[in-house]
Amino acid sequence: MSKKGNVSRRGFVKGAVAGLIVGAAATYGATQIAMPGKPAAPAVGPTDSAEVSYTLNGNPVSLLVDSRWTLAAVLRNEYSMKGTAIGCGLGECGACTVLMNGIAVPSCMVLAIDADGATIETVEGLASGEELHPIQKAFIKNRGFQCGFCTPGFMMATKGLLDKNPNPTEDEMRDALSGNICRCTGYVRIMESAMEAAEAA
Amino acid sequence: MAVKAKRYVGDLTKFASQMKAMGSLADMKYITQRVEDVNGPSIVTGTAGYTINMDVPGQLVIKFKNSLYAHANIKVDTSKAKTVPGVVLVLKGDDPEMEGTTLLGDQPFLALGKVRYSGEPVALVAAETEEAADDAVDLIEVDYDELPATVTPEDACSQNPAAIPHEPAPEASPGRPNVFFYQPLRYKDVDAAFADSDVIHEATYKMPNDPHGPICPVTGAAAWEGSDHMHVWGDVQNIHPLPWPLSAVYAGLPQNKVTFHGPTICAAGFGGKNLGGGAFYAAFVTKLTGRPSICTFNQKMSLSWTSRPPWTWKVKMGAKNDGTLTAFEAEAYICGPYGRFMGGGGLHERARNGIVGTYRWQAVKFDGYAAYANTQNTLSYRGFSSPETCFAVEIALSEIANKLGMDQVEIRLKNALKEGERDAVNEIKHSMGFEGVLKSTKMMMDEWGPKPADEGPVKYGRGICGGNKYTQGGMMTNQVFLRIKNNGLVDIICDSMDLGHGLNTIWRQFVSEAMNIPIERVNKVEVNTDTVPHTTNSYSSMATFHGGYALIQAANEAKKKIEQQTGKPYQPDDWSGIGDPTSIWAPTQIVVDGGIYAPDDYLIGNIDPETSQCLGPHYRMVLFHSHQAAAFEVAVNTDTGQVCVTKAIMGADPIPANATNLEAQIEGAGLVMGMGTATTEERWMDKGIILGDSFLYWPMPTVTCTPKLEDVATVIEPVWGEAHGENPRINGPFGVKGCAEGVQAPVAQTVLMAISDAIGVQLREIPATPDKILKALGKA
Repeated sequence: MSKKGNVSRRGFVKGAVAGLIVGAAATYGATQIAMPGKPAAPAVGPTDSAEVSYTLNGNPVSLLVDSRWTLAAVLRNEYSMKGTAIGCGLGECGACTVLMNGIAVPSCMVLAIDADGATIETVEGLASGEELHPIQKAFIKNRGFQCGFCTPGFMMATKGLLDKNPNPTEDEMRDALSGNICRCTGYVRIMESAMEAAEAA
Repeated sequence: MAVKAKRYVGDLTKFASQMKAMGSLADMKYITQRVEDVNGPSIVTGTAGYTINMDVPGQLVIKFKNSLYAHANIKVDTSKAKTVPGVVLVLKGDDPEMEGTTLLGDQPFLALGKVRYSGEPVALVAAETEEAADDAVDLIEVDYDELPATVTPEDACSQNPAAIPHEPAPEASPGRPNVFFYQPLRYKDVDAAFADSDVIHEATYKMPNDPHGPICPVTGAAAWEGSDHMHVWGDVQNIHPLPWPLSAVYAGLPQNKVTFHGPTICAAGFGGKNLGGGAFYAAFVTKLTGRPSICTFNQKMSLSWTSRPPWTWKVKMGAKNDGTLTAFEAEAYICGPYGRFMGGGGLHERARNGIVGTYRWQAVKFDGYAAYANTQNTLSYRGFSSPETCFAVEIALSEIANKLGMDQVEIRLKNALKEGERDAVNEIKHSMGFEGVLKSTKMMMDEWGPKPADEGPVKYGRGICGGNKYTQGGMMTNQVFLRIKNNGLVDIICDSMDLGHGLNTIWRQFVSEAMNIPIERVNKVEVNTDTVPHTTNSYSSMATFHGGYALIQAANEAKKKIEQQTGKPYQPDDWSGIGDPTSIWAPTQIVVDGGIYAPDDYLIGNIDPETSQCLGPHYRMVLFHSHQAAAFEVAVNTDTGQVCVTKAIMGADPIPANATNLEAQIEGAGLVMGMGTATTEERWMDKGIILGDSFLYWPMPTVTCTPKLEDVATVIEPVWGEAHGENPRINGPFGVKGCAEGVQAPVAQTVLMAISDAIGVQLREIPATPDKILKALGKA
């Protein structure tokens, strides 16, 4: 994670997110899945592209992005950071919340090119090695999740507040989490987790 | 210390000896304990295995063109879409490849000639990139010839509906052309019981279509292995009954040439992921193109694809002056564009269970109608008619109590069925925890003190109601294998997905309890059809009940086999005699296939189709009801119609396998989801046409709508049912009952009664949106 310099995308993926679950590729191995008929290589690539650079979870990265790609799509598809979930793609549910220059944003509403030069923090960057972040610990301890699909978004929104205001009131935390929707665990345990994280921070 | 919600759990230790008799070795060290959820570490690090994260190299992206209209003849032109670079396949309903495809019975894979609901998929695109797929979808041209639409349950079920969506009309009830299913319940003479009543209440109660709304939309994926075997992945609640066989149909392969993979966590379902639609589209595209594919419904399609049908209840209820209930008479209407999961009697057969689940009636007459209409598509929805039925029964009962000037708790306790009593469909009541949970809920409500005084236009109101949820037998067979390894580890090999409700943890707790080994020594293997035995589902709050029995049975079998192999009495910490670890030839594991819980276990009964009465010799369709109670306080701004829930108590009566999990269900998909059902969740529609197709236009509650932590309380008042001479296995495994769905059963009616209390006008329709409240107040 501490690698300096302008690392390539592949190199970054290998180094920084090794061990991420990447669906079937991890389970079956790409080589086992034959695709009769047509080649795997995409017939079309980026049509209108630009080179962008981010500081992604502390690592400087740069890549070529299509002008239509969102930051959420880049995180998921180019860096295999699947923790940033896309629920609605319209900025309504908050599942894709990341910190951009310290501010919680729905990354599905940020064009990848508009984030050029930004510092991006995602759920994958929360833990320090094996040591979970206090927010992560608080969400586990208080069962601040059920299916967990919205959880990374809630945790990043929590971090966005706590980085600026380490001692928030319940109402301030409510405001910070008001852009995130959870359908299954409701908000009681999420609020308890977030407020406990504030105490621990 | 940070503020926490209040959480009360009744004494569980009193059940220890009964649990021991059922095979518990660990003296409740694991079962009933607040074991930390095993999914936690993967969820908080963003590495949980959801199907939507599938990333097979070269996979095509599938997207849909959806109908604008609710009812229209259509002509679809896909020629322009096919010219978009990167587009590999475009399909519409009348393409030759589509011949012979239907999704489930009456539902086409893609609309053929006509659309029957707004949002119905009319064409699909498979492309190399999301952008190419989006561009192609935009270029698909649909020519609509709009038809009249039938969009309310009353109209759809009537003798002169505005439209006949399916020809020939099914007319399952004479004179009602669209009705495709009819279910009556008859118990004694309802007219005589009304004649014997001192007070009679009649009213109509309504609830709209409501989508399941999981934040993670339905997803499926498919890929070839070689040229004759397909792997299919689905974000589904189980893999066996529908997802696997239907994927094989769409893959064009025999079932043994298709491996269906379930996720580690199905990202919330509420019934909406029982089918697994995305997997069928992916399997079909992969079959036609030879390419891997992924199909994630966008929320526009997801919200229309699965919902609870709209319900209209016409209720007549009678009582004596002393509050004794006499008669219940009702007609219930529901509708949807296709019969999926509404057909075969599903919902109305369960409405029967809800009507008789809590209260004693002298006579009942119920007629349930399900009809075709141009409303949103439906699928089994959390509680499968329990919240809907309790909504009507409980509000009518509350209104009767108000007419009699009687206390809401007193009238409920007076009429609650007792353990061992026969109900109005001839079943013996079993595991009746209603009285206990209602009393405890009321006791906590009393701690609120007096109702706050009005603050200008803001008025406060309170309500307390009950609810019930059946667990029905005969729907499910649950089989598990256990693999015992001499290094001390056990693998659970089974179907049934954790939807976030804690199944991955609770099933480990069962094995730990039965074998007296730590949770860390138990694992649940990846769910796929090559590996796990057949199970019918993780639905209807049955995976804990049925799965628990299968796990206990398998664990008991495992203990015997360990004793046989090691030649000594079972020791939880010493399995060293299994095989020879120094030899690569001697097996160092035992696979136990003895765990099965099947309908035969509880000798399921039949019901008389003309009366819904349970027939002998077994007299049981419902294994047990779980019971709930809720109390709410709301603040209503009578100038704006806005509602704020200020206090909430939610009670349930099961012995919890894991109280933390049950409370999470109660607070989340009970309290918050129920608040949405009661106050906000209604799609913006005009004549069945969706006007806004995202979360913005179908508002779910957010954290800002939730009461403050100190104002939320949960009550678990556990009950151990008696067997009444029946097979003791009608009680839960270790006495534990699954209850995820029931938690929503008491909510909508309680919130609505609290709002009605605040504004002094009785509301009978949800959601109680500001416009309805202002209309009731004569201000709109």
